[in-house]
Amino acid sequence: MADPAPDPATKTLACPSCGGTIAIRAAGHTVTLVCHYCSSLIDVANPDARLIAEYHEAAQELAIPLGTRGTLRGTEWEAIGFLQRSEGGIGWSEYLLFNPYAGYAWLITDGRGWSLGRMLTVTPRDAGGAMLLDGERYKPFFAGGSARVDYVLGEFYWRVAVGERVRTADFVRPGFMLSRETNDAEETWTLAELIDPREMGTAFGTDLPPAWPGSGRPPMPHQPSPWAGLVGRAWQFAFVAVLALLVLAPILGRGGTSVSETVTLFPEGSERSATIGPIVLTRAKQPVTIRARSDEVRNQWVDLDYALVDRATQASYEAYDIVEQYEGSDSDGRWSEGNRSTASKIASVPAGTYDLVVDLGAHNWTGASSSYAAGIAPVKVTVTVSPGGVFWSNVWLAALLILLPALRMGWQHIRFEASRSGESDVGGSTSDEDDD
Amino acid sequence: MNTRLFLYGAWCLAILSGFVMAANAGYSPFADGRRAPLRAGGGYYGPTHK
Repeated sequence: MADPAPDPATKTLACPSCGGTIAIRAAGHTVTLVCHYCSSLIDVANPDARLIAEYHEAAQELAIPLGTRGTLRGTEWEAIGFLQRSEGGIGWSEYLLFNPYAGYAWLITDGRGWSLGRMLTVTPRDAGGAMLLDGERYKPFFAGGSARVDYVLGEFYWRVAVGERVRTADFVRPGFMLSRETNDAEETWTLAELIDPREMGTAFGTDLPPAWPGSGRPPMPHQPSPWAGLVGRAWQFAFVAVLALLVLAPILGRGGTSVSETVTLFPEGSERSATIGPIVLTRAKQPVTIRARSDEVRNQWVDLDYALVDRATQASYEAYDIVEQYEGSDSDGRWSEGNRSTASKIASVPAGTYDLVVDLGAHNWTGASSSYAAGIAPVKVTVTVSPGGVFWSNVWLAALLILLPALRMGWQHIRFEASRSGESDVGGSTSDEDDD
Repeated sequence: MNTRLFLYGAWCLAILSGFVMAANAGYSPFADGRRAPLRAGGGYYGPTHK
């Protein structure tokens, strides 16, 4: 197969230091070139290439070898230069991209992901510490840094040199970072857009970076929380679902006519039995609610054994309940406990006509010291049977199951944002919670 | 729609459907019927907070 025709913007020259043949990919634009054989710095602004600084170092292995082409955001870029920079011991890499029609762009990575940066021709507007650009607000993230060039390779449109320093400041909004670089001569602004790692893999063949939290490093300053758009919508879903539960529960728990009877019994006397009915159940299956109340129990309890008996089949559904009330006083003062009104629910009772057979027994509590001695006065207990009823335990269980995933998403989002903003050197103003 | 959000919506619908089916059948795992509740203290009657 024939070699592809050389790019019209590409020229070659011999390195004045080592003699190696070097391609100039942005001929006519490139000012400085670093030999990829010996790392010597060459001035190519003039036709006779001049050695600026001579080195004899092997070039670094790059994640994107210079000369690699890839298409991002509809433009085919060629990687022509590489810079390694650092600030306070934290390093990152910048690849200079070139397209003859689109100009220059930067691919920036610190190992956590990739961003595509373009230099701005307008200056963002200061808005109380944040920056405004095209109507978007960028919050301060890093302030007052000083970045140093540690390593260079390839070609550049300015006179780059190892050791070159600029003052830096970074501002972020989800997915974007606005960077200001200032030296004694000029101030430049760059807007970097976060690139999906899979898109980078397709375009330049880069590997997928380890994702947070497995990476052990915080998310990138401008990395949007994966839960940011989800949490609000999930809580809307949860609200609607729980509201539906609360509306549906009483509707589905509706029943028919209640039947009631009051039984009088003597404490410590013989047990009494009462038959309450008929109770007509019309739905194929339904709950049955049995309520018992006695306003007269005092330091007493009443045992209630229920048997709901189908008149046709003699099938029996049993339950047990107790009405009790205790009170007294001790060194802590007066106390009381128990409940004079209780309810039992029997589940899934088939349609039919039923009687409720109740066995009742009243008892005195004589333990401990009490200011009221239980007596022998008769106790009245009213038992009411109602078809239907709401199992609120079902409602709360369903609500919990609905809310748990939404709570987990919210917690993950807060954890992500706390980890992301924890890297900032600007106090407490970089959380994107209010952007969600 | 985001896959996670879709799955969460499906989860909410599934729980809601399960609740409606249980309510329609008058079913609850927490019903009192058929079994006598055990008292704390194994048959002891009287106040339990002391």
